[in-house]
Amino acid sequence: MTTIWTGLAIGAVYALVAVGYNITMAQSGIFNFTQGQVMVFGCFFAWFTMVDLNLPWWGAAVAGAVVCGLIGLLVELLAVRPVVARHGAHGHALLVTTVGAFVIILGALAATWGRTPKSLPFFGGSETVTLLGGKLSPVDLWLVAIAVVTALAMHLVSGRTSWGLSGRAATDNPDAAKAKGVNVTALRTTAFMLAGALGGLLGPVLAPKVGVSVSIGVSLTIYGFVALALGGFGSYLGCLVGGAAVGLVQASAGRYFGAEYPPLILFGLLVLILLVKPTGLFGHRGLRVV
Amino acid sequence: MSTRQRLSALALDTPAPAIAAFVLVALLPLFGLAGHWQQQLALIAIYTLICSGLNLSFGYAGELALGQVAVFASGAYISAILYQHGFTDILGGFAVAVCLAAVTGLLTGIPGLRLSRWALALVSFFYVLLVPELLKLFESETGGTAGLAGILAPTFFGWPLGTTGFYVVAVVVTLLWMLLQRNLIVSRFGQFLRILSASPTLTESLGGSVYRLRVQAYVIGALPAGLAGVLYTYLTGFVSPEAFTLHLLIALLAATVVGGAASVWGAPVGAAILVLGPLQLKSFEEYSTLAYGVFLVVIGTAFSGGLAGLARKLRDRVLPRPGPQGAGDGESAADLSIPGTRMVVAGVEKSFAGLRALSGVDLTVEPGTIAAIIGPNGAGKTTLLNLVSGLLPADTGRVELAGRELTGLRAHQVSRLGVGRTFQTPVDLGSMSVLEVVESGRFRKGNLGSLSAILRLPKYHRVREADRKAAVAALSFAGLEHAAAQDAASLPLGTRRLLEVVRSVAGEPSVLLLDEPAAGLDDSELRELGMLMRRIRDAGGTVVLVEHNVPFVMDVADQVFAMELGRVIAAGPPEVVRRDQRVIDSYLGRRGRREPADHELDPRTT
Repeated sequence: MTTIWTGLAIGAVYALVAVGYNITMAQSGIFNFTQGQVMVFGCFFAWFTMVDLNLPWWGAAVAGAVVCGLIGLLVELLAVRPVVARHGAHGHALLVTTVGAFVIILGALAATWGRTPKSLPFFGGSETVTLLGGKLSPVDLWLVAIAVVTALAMHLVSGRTSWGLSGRAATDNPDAAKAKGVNVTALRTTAFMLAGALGGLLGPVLAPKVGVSVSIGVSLTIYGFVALALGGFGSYLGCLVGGAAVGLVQASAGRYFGAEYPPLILFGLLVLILLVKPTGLFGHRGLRVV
Repeated sequence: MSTRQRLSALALDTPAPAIAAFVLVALLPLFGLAGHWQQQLALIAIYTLICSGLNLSFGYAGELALGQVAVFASGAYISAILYQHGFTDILGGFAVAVCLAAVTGLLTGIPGLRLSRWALALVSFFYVLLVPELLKLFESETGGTAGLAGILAPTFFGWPLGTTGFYVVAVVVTLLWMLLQRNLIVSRFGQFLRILSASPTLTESLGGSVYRLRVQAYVIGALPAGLAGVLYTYLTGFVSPEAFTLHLLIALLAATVVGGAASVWGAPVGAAILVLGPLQLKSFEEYSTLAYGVFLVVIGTAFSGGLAGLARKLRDRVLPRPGPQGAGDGESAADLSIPGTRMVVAGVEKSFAGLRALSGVDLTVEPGTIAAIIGPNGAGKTTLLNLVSGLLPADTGRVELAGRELTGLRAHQVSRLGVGRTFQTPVDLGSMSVLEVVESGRFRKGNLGSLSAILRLPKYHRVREADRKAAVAALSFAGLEHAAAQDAASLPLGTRRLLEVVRSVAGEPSVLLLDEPAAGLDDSELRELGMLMRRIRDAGGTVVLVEHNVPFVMDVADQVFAMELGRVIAAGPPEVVRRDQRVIDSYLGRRGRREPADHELDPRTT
């Protein structure tokens, strides 16, 4: 049972990364390579504000949301907008500029706060609780709850608000959406800001779980993508399921086979899902272009 | 040709200067190049190999391969493991590493490339996480985190290879790879990749399987990284997981785009900057990641050609390119045969999300005729063309070409069976010349011939010669031979639309589908288009035209099909269709009742 709780807790982290990916995918059709790295920035920033500046956790969360929202804005303005203007939203030039933005955030973190890992204790305590026969810490409970609430909220936002609905129109057919008066650029910018702000807001909860270190960006980026691919591109609830699946596989493979196996098994899972069901379990819109 | 022209052609159109430079570098030890510098240059050669692989998959095919460092690691480790087992021959190491690289590439390429470009980037990025775990898993062979040491003195056909010998091998192997890659880039395959990065749809309609091209480019791009791995092991004598990090991947990506991603010879420049540049200095170490990121963003947004792109622009300004030989050498239009076949469309239906776009279309087009499809917007004309050319699957119904069923085939297969088509908006193909664009229309005939192109076998020259002749003939068909050497993108829009037709003609299609070729043409261009279409018909072609310019249609077509709401409502010779009451009511309106004199009248002015 403890393994299941561990899996669900780390799965919640991946689900949150996937939700972040999905926001820009759903609103602009662009894959935001920087999402995982922005979340790492959120962790560093939470550490900085709570340990160095002694801010309360909610103050750190708000400050993190503002700063990471601005990072999202900068990524969109500097690495996405000029490329979309020149080559359109589906050219390969975007690949290199978003990877570049990922690298810049990584480099900035390493240059400012160094490569030695830091740690941030969870503000809600660290005494483990026993639930249904398994042990888990308060931060795990928080993460699972936050992931569920966030995914549900985004699901409702995308289906019920005009912002979410215009996003669907804009990704289905940008030209038609433009002709109907949808501001495609504004949708994209707000999506990047929202995804960034989400990453920053979560800093105080994420940092105690995943650690404060530049080396976690890659695994967040990749496992978040596996969660998205499993759950289905375009589906917020799918992110939740995908995240949980990745977390459970990781925890149980690590427990029963050894620490080297989870990445291999998850890689196999990703390859399998892309080959067998490219839309993911709940995706309605494939990423298929061929 | 004067000597000067010949010299400039040698310098600009062949890799002769690069070969000379590489040979010079390989000979440097004779002039007393010190050991340290030999090592630095060998490292440049290693990075050149990796960057040139990235050039192929990213620069040309538009696929970002983030697993390149993992392939590099696989090459390094496999040669180290072979060495431990007593197989010290460097050529054997190369062979095994190349095979391993191909497998590694296929493993990420096949699933990753079925989806968007993002998926491949992420799936291949996964290797960054996998490499350390795999090395730990096979610790008995790989030495785990400690790595393998003492892998020195490889052999070459049994002869021990000294430091200088190794240096020469590294430079020569790199040069050989670069030459092979250069040959591949200028072949049909390379041209296809350039088209692919501009438009997958166009690639399919020219007979190239987008999926297969992507996988091939990606896998071939992985091969040099395997070679580089072998060289790296023997250069350092030591491999450990610490050598194959995200940081190296980032640095190599940056070197690739700085050198110029869509160029063959940008790779050594980028690699040299990486090895010799200031970012290797200790004082810059902390900021190097940041700097690489800035390079990626700035070059990606502003100078997508990198240094090679700048050099190309400079060269084109200083030395205008000589025109292709053979252009306008009095090839006559008669050289081009267009063996048209009968096309039958029967009972074709198609719905989009419940909306019926085509509800049972039947039409037959005979060879040697021009058939026009007219009708209001939304009548289903372009949908019909897309169905015939395989870009969309039909819900029911058949499409046949000379009795052969096309239904259910993919667009590239349909194209290879002889269906040529043009699009409403010509795709911008960057720096391709008019002649190259027209030659690409020939690619659907025969296979890509990549192997004969890489090795420059006689067959390659024969096919190239035939392509060039047919392209020149097709150009002269439309009176465009004078523009052969120009960049296609520099032509006015009207000429580019004609060029679309010419490209299809060069492929000697059994059926030619034209999607609104007359839109936006001025009167003289319209006359040229009409003349070109009649010549195609007279040469035996089957021409199907979708067009809104009614006077033009009535003038040029032998057979007119009027469509409305997904159905053919009238068919027959132009004079019959133009008097059909339903056609007049639904589409022609006032224009239809006018007397034939209105064919000089452009509908846009009415």
